[in-house]
Amino acid sequence: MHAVAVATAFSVLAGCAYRAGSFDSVNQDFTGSHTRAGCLDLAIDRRPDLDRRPVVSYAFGNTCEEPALVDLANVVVVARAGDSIDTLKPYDPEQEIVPRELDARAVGGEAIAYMAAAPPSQLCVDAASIAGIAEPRWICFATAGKEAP
Amino acid sequence: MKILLASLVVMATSSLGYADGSGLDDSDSPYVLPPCSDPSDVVGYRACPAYGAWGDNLLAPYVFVDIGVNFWTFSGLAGGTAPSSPRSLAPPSANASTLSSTMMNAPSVDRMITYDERVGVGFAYGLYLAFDFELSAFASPPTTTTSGLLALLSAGIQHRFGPLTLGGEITGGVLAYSPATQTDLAAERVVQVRGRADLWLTPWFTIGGVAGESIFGDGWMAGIQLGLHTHAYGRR
Repeated sequence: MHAVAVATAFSVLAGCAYRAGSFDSVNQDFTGSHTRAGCLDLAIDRRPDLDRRPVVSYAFGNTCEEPALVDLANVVVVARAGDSIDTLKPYDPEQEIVPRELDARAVGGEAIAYMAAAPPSQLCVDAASIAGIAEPRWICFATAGKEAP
Repeated sequence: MKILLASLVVMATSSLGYADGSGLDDSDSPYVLPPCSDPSDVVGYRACPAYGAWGDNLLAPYVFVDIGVNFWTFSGLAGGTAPSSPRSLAPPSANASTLSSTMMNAPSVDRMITYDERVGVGFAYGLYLAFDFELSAFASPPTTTTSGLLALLSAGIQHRFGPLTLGGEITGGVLAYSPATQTDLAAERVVQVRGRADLWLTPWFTIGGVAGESIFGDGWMAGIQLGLHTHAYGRR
């Protein structure tokens, strides 16, 4: 946390603002599938399951010169398990996932586990819903996530 | 300012503690926070950082800190340091007593260069309040150097035009100084209108200039400064 704060301070002094389309930052890894939604450059990836819960990592960089909405509370995540397709809710025991604003030219990231009745064989994320955009932009992960050790 | 200093202390002591793992005895310091040692960074499986730490700066008030150098002129300070007319321009044939009287009655112009520390808070619609603390020695006239300090409060409004932010403000405060002819500290009221311009070098870092003119009296000032901003491009 404090290392991040110190790194951020040095980044500010060094002028390390996020560059649109670069998917690169000293403060944030942009691993996964890349896309853009509104002002946000997004990298979305599926991680190994945690307690039989599928995990999705999100990395985002604000390409605009004004704050941008990052709504991971209402991001649409659907899972296919067998013949059923379910919309998943995030695992959030502390009820801390809320829509937040990301500062201009700043970066951030989160990893969120989702509650699924059965391990999904396919998991899709509507990246556009992160930025509050109605027209969906699906990113799907066909491979089932392996359980984290 | 105290909050900022305390935050720096927290950052410094904490990072030192984490750097070597044993450099500081955490139990002795009320400032050191417990380390983030969660096995996972997944929300719900970690204790820290809290969700959305990447957006915390926008939840806090917009604060800016400027450090710069200003050039001031003051006219007719009480116990002024010297007349503004250079003695070398006096005609040799002039009546000595008349010349002396004229020079003593003429308003003096004192100039000084200050080191300026400015801390401000931004509000909606580009409004802001800022506090300046400036410390200097009078640069002119050179016959007797006196020290001075300024404490100023500014209220202004600013707007960004691309890479530039332009603003105007009203500044009021006090100049405390040591007159050349006195041993006591003297004080002078300062009220100015000012214009500012900041160039955004990064979203959080500016270089700028300021110029102001006294509402009462003939003094003016100009300066340059570097600024750090907690909100990108100074947006509230």
